[in-house]
Parts: sequence; structure tokens; C-alpha cells
Amino acid sequence: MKGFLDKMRPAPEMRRILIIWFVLSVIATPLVAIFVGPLLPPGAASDAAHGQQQDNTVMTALVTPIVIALLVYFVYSFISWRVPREADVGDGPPLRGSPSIMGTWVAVTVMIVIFLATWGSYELFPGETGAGGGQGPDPLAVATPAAAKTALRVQVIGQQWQWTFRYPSFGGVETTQLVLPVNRQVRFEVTSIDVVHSFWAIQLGVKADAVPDEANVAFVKPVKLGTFDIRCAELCGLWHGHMATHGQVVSMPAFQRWIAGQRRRWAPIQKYLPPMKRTYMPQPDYRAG
Amino acid sequence: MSTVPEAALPATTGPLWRRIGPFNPLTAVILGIVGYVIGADIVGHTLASGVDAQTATDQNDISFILGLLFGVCGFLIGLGFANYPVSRILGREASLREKEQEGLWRYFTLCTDHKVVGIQYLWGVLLFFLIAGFNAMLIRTQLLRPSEHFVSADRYISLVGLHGTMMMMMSSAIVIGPFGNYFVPIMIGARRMAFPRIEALSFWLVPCAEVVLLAAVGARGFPSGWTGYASLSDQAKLGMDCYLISFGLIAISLMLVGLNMLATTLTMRAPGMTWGRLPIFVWGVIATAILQLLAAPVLLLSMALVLMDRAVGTSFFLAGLGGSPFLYENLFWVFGHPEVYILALPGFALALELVSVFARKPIWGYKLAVAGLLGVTFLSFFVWQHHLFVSGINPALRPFYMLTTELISIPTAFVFLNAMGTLWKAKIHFTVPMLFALALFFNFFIGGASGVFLSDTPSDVSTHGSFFVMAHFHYTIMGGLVFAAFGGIYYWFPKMFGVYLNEAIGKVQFWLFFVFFNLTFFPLFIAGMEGMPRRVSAYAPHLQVINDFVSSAAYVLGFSFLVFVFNVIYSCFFNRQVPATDNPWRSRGLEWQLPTPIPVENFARPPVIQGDPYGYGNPEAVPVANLNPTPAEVTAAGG
Amino acid sequence: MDELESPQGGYYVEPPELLARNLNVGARLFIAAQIFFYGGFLFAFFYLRELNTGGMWHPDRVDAPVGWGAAISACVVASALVSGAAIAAMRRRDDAAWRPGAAVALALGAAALALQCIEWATLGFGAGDGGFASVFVAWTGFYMAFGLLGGLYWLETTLATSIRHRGEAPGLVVAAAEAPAGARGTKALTAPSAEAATINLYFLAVVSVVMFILLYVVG
Ligand code: HEA
Ligand code: HEA
Ligand code: CUA
Ligand SMILES: [Cu+2]
Repeated sequence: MKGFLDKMRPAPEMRRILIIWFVLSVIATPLVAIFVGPLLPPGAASDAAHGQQQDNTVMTALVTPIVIALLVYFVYSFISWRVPREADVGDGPPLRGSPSIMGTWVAVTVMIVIFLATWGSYELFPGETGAGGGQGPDPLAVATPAAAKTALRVQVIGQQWQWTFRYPSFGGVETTQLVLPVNRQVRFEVTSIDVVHSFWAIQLGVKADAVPDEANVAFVKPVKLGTFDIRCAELCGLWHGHMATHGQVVSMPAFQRWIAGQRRRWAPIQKYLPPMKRTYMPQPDYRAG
Repeated sequence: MSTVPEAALPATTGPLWRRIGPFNPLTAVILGIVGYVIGADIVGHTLASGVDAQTATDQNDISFILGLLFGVCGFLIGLGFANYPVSRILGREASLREKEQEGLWRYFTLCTDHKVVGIQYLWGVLLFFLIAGFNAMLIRTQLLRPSEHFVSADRYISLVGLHGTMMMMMSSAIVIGPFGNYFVPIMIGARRMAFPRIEALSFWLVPCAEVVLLAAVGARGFPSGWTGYASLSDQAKLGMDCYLISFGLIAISLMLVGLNMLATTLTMRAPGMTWGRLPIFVWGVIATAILQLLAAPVLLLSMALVLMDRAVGTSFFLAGLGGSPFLYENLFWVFGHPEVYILALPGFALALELVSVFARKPIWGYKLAVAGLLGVTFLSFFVWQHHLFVSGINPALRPFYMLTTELISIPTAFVFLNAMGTLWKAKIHFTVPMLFALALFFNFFIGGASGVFLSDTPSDVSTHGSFFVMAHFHYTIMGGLVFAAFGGIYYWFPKMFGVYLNEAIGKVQFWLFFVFFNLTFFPLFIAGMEGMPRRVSAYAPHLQVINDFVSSAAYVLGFSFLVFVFNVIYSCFFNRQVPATDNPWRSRGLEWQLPTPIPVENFARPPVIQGDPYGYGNPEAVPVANLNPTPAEVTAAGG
Repeated sequence: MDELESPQGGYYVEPPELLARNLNVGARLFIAAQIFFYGGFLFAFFYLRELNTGGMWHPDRVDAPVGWGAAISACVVASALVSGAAIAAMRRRDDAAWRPGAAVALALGAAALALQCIEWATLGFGAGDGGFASVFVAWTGFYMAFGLLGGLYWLETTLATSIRHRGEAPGLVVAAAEAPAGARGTKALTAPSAEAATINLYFLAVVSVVMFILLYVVG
């Protein structure tokens, strides 16, 4: 910064702008990071949600000085270089550009972008959880948490217009409720039997499109007990807006009790369910015409 | 220099009946209806009989589609678009230009004068903007309460789809249509566009498309939003065909505009108009035209393939039948992302133009601006999967698309630097056009920065499909493009129509627009972060406060456009303020050096361009063009 | 300069070769747009082939007849080549030699269309027989109905104009830049238009070869 300022020998106006910017940014950026950050979605109910919140915080903090720079510059120029209407018929100085300023600008934006892209990719690399997003049928190639092998598998099936859930490790029992044990890696496999939906567990920070004939895997590890909202995030027709339900994160024993209850409850119809598969063929004649 | 091609001559005059008829809007509408009947009832029914899937239900896609297509063809034939091709097939002499000399009537028919086409575009597009904006008011009314109370769920989705599709269609043309057609030939010193007939066609396809789209209302709407994802589109009712055909027509129109604008700027530049002297607005149009030329065919293809899936029984997008919805998502966004820069780039270029004029300074960093526009153009073909981060398509490529998407911030930021550099020590006049242009930079920064949030995959996981996205693109389109377009209207109105738009009313409109635009859309970022999905008529009750606030602000925002409508009527009919000179803004742009109204052939003599239009503050600057050169000077300049 | 005075009292210097340049540039831009259009089919082909959803990419019963495909492509390629050869005659101002060439090119193109129609009528599979069948039907359909038919229409207009004016001054059908005074409007367009139409035909020929390889050979 120092060398750059020397070289540019900023005009007094520019020096003033830079000082105002610097002061405001130094004050505002930490405030934003500390006070706005925790308000950002989706909260900290899971590792994925936490990671997303972190990203949002970093980006908000990063954008703050940029907003301030633009605002300070524009407002400063409006105030100091406006002319009363028709009072001044002259022109401004015929400046056509300055390579050093342009170069600096390009360099700064390139640096920001490289930082952002690196930071964003970091959470998607192997070993991380893939940030709770859908990662296609075969996430091993992309990102698999260490605990993936032992993860609790939950199949999420979207259809017009409701969600159902199957637990392959519990006999493939199919329920309309989603209950998850806390602090246990979960592996959602999202699919659809008609049109495209999107499984959105809001507070868990999970979102994965449900596409017919595709299994879309998303990892998450809930860390807080409580309920979370589930909505459909891809337009799927008439009652898309009502394709919503709630899920619950409970303690491991409570989960065991619940799943045992579900198995008893649905046992009579279990044999009529199609066998557990990663995807279910849409009905060939599902075209409504 | 020995021949006088017919194309250069004004159309022959003849008796009035000859000039008005038989090709006029009335014959067009009649033939349009006749075409629909032939297509739907005769051809369609013949083809569809025997196809069970079509006749077994009450929903005969084949005949409906053919009806619409024949109807559109009939309409265009009725306007006279078939005369030229038919003459050519027979080898007859055909005039390249049409109806350029006739009074008011030429605005309502096929006219090959680019200035007429520009004005047709202006009012046509504004009309559809108001209709689509009115739909937005209905949307906001529905969202006053967290459950259906105003319209039913299916109506609501249709409303959103209509609003979004119509807005996207009209805003692809809101700057390049009126101002591109009207001013680009003039700015480059040409008398016409390279292909005047194609130019007329590109306009007339727009009303066809919009009417076909509106016809969806009568065909039980379409449930798929403006993105029309398969396989929802496959099970949808007949209204879906309206969406598909109308977007397909727009694709043709966009492609033709792009082809025409590129050919024009490549071949029609006046002597002395080097690439370095082009106004930045023309560069914006060139960049946009490249995107239109290359991206629109992909849209046409996607629409055509969905139509085939619906009517012919192919299975491009049907999972399990050899097709895949992913194919549609890819094809659509290969078009869809360039499309959003088709919306943005003309706005940037126009705003820079305005900032230069009203800051009384040359554009700071002209080359950087050109590089920015072209850089965005280039990059925009490589980012489309950022709309599909959570779809499960190519998860391994997400870091790549994250990077390319964020890279676009760099050329976009050039444009910001250009504006800031131009304001440096400027003499800023806060006229109405200038206010609009400056507001673009404020709004678009918010839109762009929110785009950067979305481009970050982890962050997009939480905001995809939510109102955060919706706020993002209203900030970029409404806050960017639409502001620029209104700046352009206020700026060029005196040249196009010979009167000022009232300045005081203009300021009222601007401030209402600016303040209530931000009050409407900023809270929606929060709503999105709080978990409000898009395209839902029912949302979580705790979001009602935000939504009510937004709706109230949106009504005032809608009111600001009524102020604009009032301003146009007031300034044109009740309080005509005619500018004292041909160049009331003291602009150096070539278009302002011409008399008002601009004569049919624009230039009596071919202008010899002497410099770029940014000679502000330079006492030695020569006028932008020599409008009255001798033949020797023309030859010397390479003409 | 008298005859060049415009109604506004200036003079016209719209360079005569401008029309030719417009057409030339226009044809190339049009080809660029078409590349993206057919590129979409290319993408669909490989994408669906790769996914092969439900094992329905290319069921065994779907079999595109190679013979027909070869014949169709050969006709299109021949049409483009003949048209290109004929253009050479036109450049020599020999319209009398150009016209038969253009007519043959048109006939070959029409033959391709006719063969395609017969092929469709006798095809052993329908549009609904999976991914490949979809791509096959749609690609050949759009190519024939818009691409080739449009390309032939373009060539035909130039031939028709030339035939209609065959009795007039020789060399009418030359590049507009050299057209004799008095040649106006679409007449002066004939030569550049024929050249542009031929460029477009070349492109269509390339597409048809690609289609042949993908749709009939690779499958
Ligand atoms: C005019 C239209 C327009 C424009 C210009 C943009 C510009 C951008 N858009 Fe946007 N976008 C849309 C219209 C537009 N968008 C629409 C309509 C949709 C939704 C479609 C739908 O689903 O219906 C969408 C959706 C959308 C998504 C998908 C969201 C989702 O569905 O999950 C993403 C994700 O990456 C995205 C990103 C971006 C980015 C990074 C930019 C960038 O180009 C922005 C660059 C600009 C800046 C960053 C500001 C200026 C820069 C500086 C001052 C420099 C300093 C700053 C930095 C270096 C950070 N957009
Ligand atoms: C150019 C693009 C553009 C523009 C300018 C706008 C403008 C507006 N949009 Fe739009 N919008 C989209 C493009 C645009 N929109 C798209 C692409 C979608 C996504 C669709 C989808 O999901 O598929 C969308 C979706 C969308 C939604 C989300 C619906 C949902 O997902 O559930 C909402 C909700 O508030 C909304 C509101 C508004 C409002 C209030 C305005 C206001 O700015 C409008 C201002 C008002 C006017 C212009 C009207 C003025 C006139 C009158 C008040 C009455 C006079 C009437 C006559 C003379 C006839 N829009
Ligand atoms: Cu399911 Cu929206
Ligand atoms: Cu995009």
C-alpha cells in the first residue's frame, strides 16, 4: 500500500478519498464480520450450515470495503464536482486514462477473485463435506467426508407434491417424516419419480435437486437438536409452494426408538414397496398428455 | 462510384391506396386468424388424427402448435413479409426498402427505415413492460399474505411465469431495440442497417411473440416459470406451447438483431470511422450482438426440442426413455447465461455514454471499457453451470464454474472504473438522464455483489432457488438495464421526437423509482436468506412482515411508471418544450450533429469521421464528423 | 455527379460493393449462428449417449439405414461442390455457364430432400424409440426443413433472377462492384448472393457429413 501510494502520488482529492475510505473500512469491516456474520444464513445447526455461514461472513466482510470505496468515491465526486445547472458551460479536463490506475484496479480485482475462488473451492475438495450441496450420484470423486463410510444413509424421494424418506440401513422403511440423529454424518440420496424438485433442508444448509433417474448425494452432520424446515426449491408445478414439511434432529437413543417405531408401523405395507434402489424409473406413461 | 443501387433510393411513391394496402395491420390480423384456423383445424387435425396421445385427451398439442405457427406466419404475410421472398423465388425485381416515405402510417406496418423500427421498438417494448410490470403488481398482491388469498396456486405460478418470461423477452430489446436500431447506424455514419428487411422482421416478431405468450392465459397458463424446465414442461397444459413458441420467436428475433447489428457495424461504417472512434454505446451493441447471434440459436433449439417432446413424441428430456432433464437444463443455461449479459451490456454502454456527456469529459479508459465489454462477452459462454450448482450435474466442475463466474467480476469492474475515472474532476450536471445513469452503478453493484455471493458454491447452496436469487436479478436487470433504458429515453427523446420530456416530472419519477426500487428489492435479499423459496404462493408466516413491506413499496414503484406515462403524454401533447437547438445537451455524439427530425436518409452526404465523440475539454478537438465533405475528401478518408 | 443527387441535395456514395460485402459478411455470421444451433444437437447426441438413461439410448431395434444416409449426404456434398464450381464460371462473367451449374446444384439438393423423405417414410423406428431416435428425427428434420430447404431457396432466387434477365447485358450477374450502370436492386445482388448462398451450402455439406458420421456410422 505504501509503495503504491508513493508511486501514484495521489492528487489531494484522491488522498482525501483514500483516507475516508480507510477509516470507514477499518471501522466497518470488523463490525460487519462480528455482528452481521452470525445473522447470516443458514445458521450453525450443522457442519454444512456452519461452513456456508462462514462463506457468507467472509464475503460480506470482503464486500464491505468495496462498497465503502465506491460510495465514498461517488459521493465525494458528486459533492465536489457538480455544477449548478447551466451555470458552467465549460468542459472537464480531457483525461483519457492512466495505465497505472487501471493496472492497480485490475490487479486488486484479480486478487480478490482468486482469493474468493480458492476459498470457495476449498470446502468442495475431498475430505470436506461438499458444503451440503447435491454432488451427483458418485461423490467419491468430488468430496467425501472421512465418516462417509459409516454415514447414515437416507434416501429422499420427491414427487408431486410431497417428500418421502427411506432408510436403507433400517430395512428400507419408508416414512413421511425425516428424523436424524445428532452428531452423526448423514448421507442424503435425493431422487424424484416425476419432475425436477429440489430438497432444501433450510437450517441444515442442505440443498440438492431431485431429478428423475438420478441419485444426488449430499452430506451433512447435524450438530444441534431441534426441528428444521424442509421446502421444495425447484418449481415443480401446481402445489410446489406447499411441498413443505419439517424435520427433526434428535439424540441417538431417541432416533433408535423412533426408527424402530416406524418399522413396526409400516411393516404391513413394507412388502408392497418397490425394493430399495438408488433411483426409481418414472412410470413410462407418466406424461399427463 | 458509378452505380446507384436500388437499395439506396427512397421507395417510390404511388397512389395512397397502393402505399397503405393491402398489407397493413388489419390484413395482418385477419391473415393471422385465418392462419390459426388453417393450422389448428385443418392441418393440425389431419396430422393429429390417429395419434392417440394427442386425441385421447382434450389436449391436442399438434393442432394447437400448428395453429399458433400458422397464425404467426399469417400475421407476417399480412404485413407484407412474404412479398419479397416470393418475388425473389420468381426472379422478379424486388425493392429492398419499403414504406419509408409515408406519414404516421409507417409506424404500424412493415417499414425498413431504421428510425421507424427504433420507434416501433420503443413503444412496443414499453407497452409490454407495463403489462409485465402489472403482472408483478398482481404477484405482490398475492404475496401480501402467506397463503393463497388473491389468486389460486396455479394462477400464481402462471403469473410468475408470464411476468418473468415477458420481462426477459422485452428487456432483451429494451435498449438495443429502440436505441440500437435508431442510433447505431447514425453513430457510425450510415444511412441504414445492413439488412433493413431483417430489421423490420426482428421487430415484428416481438409483438407476435408477446401476443402468443399472452395467449397462454387463455390456454390454462404454464407452470414452469421463465426457465421452462423439463420434464414439468412435458406434462404441462396447452399454455406451455405458447411459452415455447413465443420464446422461440424471440430467439429468432434476437438472432436476427445480432446478425444485423454485427453486419452493420462491420460493413457500414462511414469513411474514417475506425474501431477506436466508435462510440462506446456501439461497442456495447457489438458485444451484445455477438451474444445474441451465438446464444439465441441454442434457445431456439431448446424450445423446438421441447415442442417435439410434447407433440411428436421424442424423448429428449424424459428420464428413463433415453432422455434427461439435465439436457434441458444445460441447453437452457447455455443460452440463459449469455442472455443475462444480453440484458446487461447495452445498459453499461449506454450509462457510460451518458456519464461522459453529462460529466463533460471523455470516457476515461476507453480501451478498458471495450475490453470489459468484450471480456464479459467471452467469459459469459463459460459460466452456465453456476445455475446448476446443486443439481448434481458435473459436481467436479463446480470449482471451475465458480472461478469463471467470479472472473466476470473483473471485466465488469472495468466499467465501474471507467465511470469513476470519468467523474474525476468532472463538471457534473445532474440532469435526469445522468441521474438514471449514475443510479445504475449503485444498483448494479448491489446486484453484482450478490451475484458473487451466488457464485460461491457453498453460499449458493443456501440461497439457490430462494428470493435471494430473485433479488439478485432484479437488482441487475431492473436496477441496471431498466435504469439505463430510462436514462436513454430521457436523453434521446428530444432527438427522436423533437420535444423534451419534462425535467421536473422526470426527477419525481427518478426519485420515486430509485428509492422504492431499493425499498422493494433490498428486503428480498433478507427474505431469501430467511428461507423464502421462489415461485411459491404460500410462505412461512414469519416472513409476512417483510413481504408486506415489499409489496407496499412495489406499489409505489409501479406508480412511478404511471408518472412516466403521464410525463410522456404531458410533454408530447400539453406542454411541448421544443429544444432551442438540434443539440440541447451539447453532446459531441454524431447523432446530435444532425437536424431534428433526422431526415430519412440520415446524411445528405456520407460523413467523414474525424475523431471519436469524446473531445470534451479539448480545445483542439475537431468536430466528430465532417458532414459536408467534398467527394475528394470522402475518397481520401477511404470511402 | 448530377444523376447522383439525392432528394436532400447531397449525393449518394453508398459504395456499390457494399451490398456484396453485406451479403458476404451476413452469410458468415449466419453460419456462426447455425454452428451453435447444430452444436446443440451435437451436445445432445453425446450427452444422451453418455447418460443412456434407462438403457434407452439406442435399443437394438433402432437402426438407421446407412445406405440412405450415405446417399443423402453425397447429394448434399455434390450439390455444394457443383455450386462452387459454377461460381468460378460466374466470376469469369460467364452466366451462361453458371446457370446450368446452379441448376444442377439445385437438383442435387432437391434429390437429397426427396431421399430424406423416402427414408423417413420407410424408417424402421419412430421418434419415440429412445434417445438416439429422438436426436435422429429432430436433427434430420430441422436440418432438412430449415437448413437445406432454406439454403436451396437462397440459391434458387439467384438462379431465377439470372434466368429472368438472361437476355440483358452480359455480365449482369457479376459482382456488384463491376455491374454496369443501371443494374439496380436485386439484380445487382445476384452475383454476391449466389456466392454467399454457396458458402452457406458448403457449410450445410459439412453438417450433413457430420450428421452422416454420427447418426449412421457412430450411432
Ligand atoms: C442483467 C442480468 C444479470 C447480470 C448482469 C448478472 C450478473 C451476475 N450474476 Fe446473475 N442472474 C441473473 C441475471 C444477471 N446476473 C438472473 C436473471 C438469474 C436467475 C435466473 C433464474 O434462475 O431464474 C441469475 C442467477 C445467478 C446465479 C445462479 C443462482 C442460483 O440460481 O442459484 C449466479 C451464481 O453464480 C449468478 C451470478 C452472477 C455473477 C457473479 C454476476 C456478475 O456478472 C456480477 C459482476 C459485477 C460485480 C461483482 C459488481 C462490480 C464489480 C466491482 C465493483 C469490482 C469489485 C468486486 C469484486 C471483485 C467482487 N447469477
Ligand atoms: C426485466 C426483468 C424484470 C423486471 C423489470 C421485473 C420487475 C418487477 N418484478 Fe420481477 N421477475 C423477473 C424479471 C423482472 N421483474 C423474472 C425473470 C422473474 C422470475 C420468474 C420465474 O421465477 O420464472 C421475476 C419474478 C418476480 C417475483 C418472484 C415471484 C416468485 O418467485 O414467487 C416477484 C415478486 O415480488 C417480482 C416482482 C417484480 C416487481 C415488483 C417488479 C417491478 O419492478 C415492476 C414495476 C411495475 C411496473 C413496470 C408496472 C407499472 C404499471 C402499473 C402499476 C399499472 C399500469 C398498467 C398498465 C398501463 C397496463 N418478480
Ligand atoms: Cu417440488 Cu417444487
Ligand atoms: Cu448466470
